[in-house]
Parts: sequence; structure tokens; C-alpha cells
Amino acid sequence: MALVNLVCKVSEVNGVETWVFRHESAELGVRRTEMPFQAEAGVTTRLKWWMIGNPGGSIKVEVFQGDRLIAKRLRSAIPNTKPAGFDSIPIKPE
Amino acid sequence: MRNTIFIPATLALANPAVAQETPTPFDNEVKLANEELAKERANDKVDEQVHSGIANGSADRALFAADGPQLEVSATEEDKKGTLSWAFSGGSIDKGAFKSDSFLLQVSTAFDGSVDQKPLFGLKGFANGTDVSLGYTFFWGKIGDPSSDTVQSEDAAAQKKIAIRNCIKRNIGADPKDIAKKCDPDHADFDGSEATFLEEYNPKGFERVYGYHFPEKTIKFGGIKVTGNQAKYAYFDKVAFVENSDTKFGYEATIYGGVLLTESPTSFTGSLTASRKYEANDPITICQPINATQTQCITGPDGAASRNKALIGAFEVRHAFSFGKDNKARLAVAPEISYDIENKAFAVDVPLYLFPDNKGALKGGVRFGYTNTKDALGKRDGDFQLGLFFAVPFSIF
Repeated sequence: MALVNLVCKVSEVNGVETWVFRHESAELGVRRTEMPFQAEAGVTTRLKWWMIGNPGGSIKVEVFQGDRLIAKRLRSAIPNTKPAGFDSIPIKPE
Repeated sequence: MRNTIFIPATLALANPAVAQETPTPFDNEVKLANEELAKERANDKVDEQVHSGIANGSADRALFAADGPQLEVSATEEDKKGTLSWAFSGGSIDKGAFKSDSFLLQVSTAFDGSVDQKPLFGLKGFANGTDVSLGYTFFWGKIGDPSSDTVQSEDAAAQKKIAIRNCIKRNIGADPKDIAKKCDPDHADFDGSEATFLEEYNPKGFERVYGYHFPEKTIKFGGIKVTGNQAKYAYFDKVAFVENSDTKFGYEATIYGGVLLTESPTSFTGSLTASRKYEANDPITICQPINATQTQCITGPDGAASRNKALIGAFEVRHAFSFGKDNKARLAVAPEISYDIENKAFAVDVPLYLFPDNKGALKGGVRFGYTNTKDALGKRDGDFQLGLFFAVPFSIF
């Protein structure tokens, strides 16, 4: 069970006022654009996040293992009828 | 009569995020969707409804968010001013209760020390000169994680599966790779979020799952914004018959707080603003003889700049109305009632956002207003206003 270092990056913020990130049950941060965390190599886990902002607002989320992009969400959006949204993606580092 | 769709079980191999040898949950949903479709086709009950799900592009507001302080320097030759910005944002979370903070310090100054009266952006009419702006905003709220509760976790997973199946059925006939991108929220090229996906393909389930993620009815927000301005005002001193100038300090400080309803795009905000602004008087021209044949004339503002003080309390409601097949925000209102304690005046302002830009964000509309002021003699004067506005994006905050 080898833990590897990963970095979650948030960019292209449009209409999202704040966000909260969590990996499994570990809190990664609130309204941060770079969040380092660790995950087990070869095991699929989930990166989860919550967004507060304008209906339709969005952020881009990328997870890097070193320089390598291992997971991404191009446009994670808040639903049109709500002021908040939630999302998650699978992470499987090597 | 076609009664099956051919979505290969190996579809997931086209999906880099889930590519693996064993069948993925998405593969299982493809199989189940095929089976359900076969039954529905047999009963001619296929739902042909198409939802576009285009997100309403929202505010173009500047948002500062960084792990550490961000320093930015900008200067424009056209406006002859330089700006220095320092921004910091962060927050904390404990057992689902989060607090988010952002802080902004901005300093602008004119290169040439001009006394030009051109207002600077966002400074509500402060004259050009040196401006210092300080802002702090916070959000308090609570998030929930369905995975920490067995019942919620199972229900959220079940609702996601229903949404996947509905998506597959609705996109029957499309390229399998496109179906995977569109109907598998775990796909690397999926566009949207789990929330938008559920909202579109399983609206009933979405409402319940949304409640798991946002268990409280409100999110609180608040903040303070202070702007100071130092500017030089030239004027004409009639008594001494000379041009003179004064340096004046103006300010505007606003403290605000409110709640955002989590169930609908609605917010309520109360604020108190104190301000002191200076305004140059209207120019006059006065001439006087300097000898038997010559006259000297001087033109300039009539006396030292006038001071205007205000203390304004305001209450504002903001709401976006979403309707149509794609549930886009097509109408928004932001009525505000305010009272100036210093000048015994009140105003009602009702902007109605009607016009979207090319991305669908509401950025223009009609504004109704009523202002009631009191003059120096104590006489009240009411004034109705009606106008159009453009390029002002609607924001829920």
C-alpha cells in the first residue's frame, strides 16, 4: 500500500463563489485553487466537492500526479435551478 | 420494430477514467438500459423528450481565490492610473460546517496627479486620484456527504443509476462513445457535474440527493467593503479672485449580511453604507479690470468642492426564475428598498433582468425606480424613474 502525492487544481472559475473539496473522508480545503493530498496507488477512490454560487456557475477541476493529469472535470457546474451544486470524480493514481 | 439498442458492453474501454477489464457500474447500467428499453419499446412508451441542459452562464464578476496572497499590478496608459491588488482567500471546515473567507486590498492612483473628475470603476463616482479599497466576504454553511450514511449512500447511488439509464435511453441511436461521454459522470470528458446530470435525467431523485448534500435551508454570507479616496479639487475663490485648490478625503464603507436559500436561487441581503463624497461646483467665469485697457478673466468651479454625506440602510431580495425545458434562468429580479438616515430620503429600485447575452447569462433589462428626497426647506420631492440597463450581470449575491 503505497501512498502517492497528488494535487487537485481548481481553475476557470465562473460564477462560483466558494467551494469545498474532500477526498474520501479527508477535507482538502475551502475556496483553495491548489490542494495537495495523498491517495493509494492502484486503488480507485473518489474526489468530491461542493460549490456555492450562481445557478449555472462552474469550475474546472484537474488532479495531477506529478506532471501527469490523472483525472479531470472540464466544467463542473451548479444546476440552473439551485444556488449550489455537488460533484465527484474517480481517482486512480499509479 | 426495433426493440433493443446496441450499446456495446465494452463501451467503458472508450472511457479512460473507467477503463478496466472487469465490467464497470456504467457497463451494468448500459445492460439494464438495454433491457428496460426493450420492454418500453414493446409498449411504445419511449420517452422522446430532449433536454438541452445548457448551464446559465453566470456572473463575469472578478473572483479572487488563491492559496496564498496574490499580488497584481496593472497600469493603463489610457486612464493614466496604476492599480495594485492583493487578494487572499481560504476557509475551514469541521464536521461538514464550512467557513469561507476572501479578502481584497486594492490601491489605485493617477500617474499625472490630475484632478480630472472622471469616476473610477466600481467606486461609485469617486474622483480620480488615489483610491484604497478594502473588501472582506465570508460564507458560512453546512454540507453533507451521502457516503457517510448508509441509507443516503444507497439512495444516492440508486438515483444516479436511474439517471444513467434515462440518459442512455434518451440518447438512443447516438454514437456509443458520445453516449459514454454524456451519460457516464465518471467519464473523463463528461461535461457538467453529478448535480446537473441528476437534475436533467432524474429530477425527482435530484431533489432528494441535493438535500443530502445541503442539509440546511440557508447559507449565511456577509462582509465589509471600505473605499477611501484622496483627490485634489481646483476651484475659483471669488473673494480673493484667485485659483485655489484643496485636497479632500472621501470614503464609502458598507457592511452587509444575508442568507442564501439552498433550495432555490434566492437571497436576502441587508446593508448599511456610510459615505462622504466631494463634488466640484459648477464652473463660473469672473472678469476684473487689471488696468485701463485690459481685463483678466478666470474660469473655475465656484468655490471649494461640496461635501455630501450619507448613511443608507438597505434591504434587497434577489431571485432568478428558471423555466422552459432546459430550466434555464430566464428572468431575475433584485428589488431593493433603501433609506438615507442622514438626508431623510428613501428609494425603491427594481431591476428586472430580461435579456441574456450570447452565453445565456442575464445581463440586461428594465429598471423601475422611485426616489423621495427632502430639500433644505423640508419639502419632500418624489421622482419616478424608468430605464434600460445593459452589461450588468445578474448575480444571486
